[in-house]
Amino acid sequence: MSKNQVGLGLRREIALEICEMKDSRPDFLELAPENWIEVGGYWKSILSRVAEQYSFTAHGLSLSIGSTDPFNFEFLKKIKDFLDEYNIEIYSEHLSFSTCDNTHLYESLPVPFTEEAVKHISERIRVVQDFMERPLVLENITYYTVLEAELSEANFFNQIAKESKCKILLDVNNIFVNSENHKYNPKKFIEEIDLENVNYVHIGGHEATEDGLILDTHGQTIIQPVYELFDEVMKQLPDAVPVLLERDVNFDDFNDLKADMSEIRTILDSNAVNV
Amino acid sequence: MSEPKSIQKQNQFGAYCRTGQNSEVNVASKETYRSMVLTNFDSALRNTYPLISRALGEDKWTEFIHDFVLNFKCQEPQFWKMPFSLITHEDNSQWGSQNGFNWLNDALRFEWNQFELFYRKDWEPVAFKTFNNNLNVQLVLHTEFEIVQLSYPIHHEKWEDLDQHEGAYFILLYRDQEDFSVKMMELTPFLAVFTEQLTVQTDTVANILENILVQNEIEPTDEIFAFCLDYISKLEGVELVKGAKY
Repeated sequence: MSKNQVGLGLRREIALEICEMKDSRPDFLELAPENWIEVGGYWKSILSRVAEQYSFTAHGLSLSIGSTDPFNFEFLKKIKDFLDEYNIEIYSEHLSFSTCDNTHLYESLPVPFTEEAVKHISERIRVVQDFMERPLVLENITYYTVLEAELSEANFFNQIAKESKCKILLDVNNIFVNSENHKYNPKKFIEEIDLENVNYVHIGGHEATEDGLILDTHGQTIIQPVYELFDEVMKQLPDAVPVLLERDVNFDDFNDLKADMSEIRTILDSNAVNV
Repeated sequence: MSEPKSIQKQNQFGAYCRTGQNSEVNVASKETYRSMVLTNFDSALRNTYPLISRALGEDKWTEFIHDFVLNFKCQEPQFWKMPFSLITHEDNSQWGSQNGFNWLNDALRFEWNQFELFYRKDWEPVAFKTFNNNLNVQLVLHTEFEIVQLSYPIHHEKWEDLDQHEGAYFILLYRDQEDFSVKMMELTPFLAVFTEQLTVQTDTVANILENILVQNEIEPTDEIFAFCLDYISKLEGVELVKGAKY
């Protein structure tokens, strides 16, 4: 995939609209392999139509890289075959755990920011990368609690990337949400994180709850402070990388998505000399 | 070897999110995470089992789902397939019959089969020739159908008094080859067996039919053969029977 592209998450609610878009089309689409593997019928026909028009990145849901449970290699093989079938270069996942006691919880849960976890997760990343024969790209998730923090989140991430040689999916909205919920300066996170390891960026909307917590819902348009943070990231990134607009819910007005994509492109263009 | 301390804490937190148990877990926002996990399960299961969630009512549905999340260890990495685990849980726990919902197991299978058929992997075509009403051939059927045996008439729209209509009901669910929607056809017990045998036996239609008649001590008649030919013609009409094997 060539760099400096703006993508959109492939959700079933908007799949047909994406197929029929005449202008302001995304450059690529991101999908969750788990949602499409072994799917036939109507949705397979739609996926085939979409695949004729767009290239894909993959954002997995069930790897549970932080877990102590053994990997399901049979399923990893299915993911690998899917990535190969659709010629997908970027396979990203969440730096989190989603299984516990050999049980899927279907939610990204935070891992402790400790040296023990760095060692444990790095080893598991190496196993996955060897099996998948491609680098794993891990995303900074939103977290509403800190289990333990010997290290700062950015340093924790840096150490894992260094030890495992994985790549980083930098989710700018997640940095913003975490900085608000945990009261830190998001620019400090960006200064600390090794941006040379970033090869993919996410940006999206969020929602504030009545009790003051900000939830990473991917259901709203992107707010200005997040765009400002994104601009900051783009200024500092040593290389251009693909950028994905995340939207999981609230598809009533497709023009909102087009407007967000347009704004992302404007920021990318304004930083073109820097990347 | 024991787990490092911070990873033990992670696992205790994960266990809490699933079970809601273990008061020793001292983690901020743990209730938020527990609620997120339950909401994920609940919304996916409601989406797969809309009739059951309505029929049980809010309180009983929630009780059933919480019982499932607490007691069943989901091994399914694909979230869209997770709702099948609710059937396995019901088989193991008999929650339905213990709570006065004898029809629950039937209903779960009926709704799951409809859901799964809509998403099921496409049939991989094999070569076939035109059937031409010749019973001395083996049929080629595609794989996008399911025969469901029910003890309660779940497939009827009214779910009141299901217990009073206990019996044997056979439904053929199949995926429409044009618009991909899942449709149903009520079958007699005889046609359910006949269809199933057409699927599993590598034999001619005539032999399959004769075996069923012999096993059920039914005298073969021209009417029976004509009836079966008419049924196969119906299956051809919905493209469930593709043709005859070469």
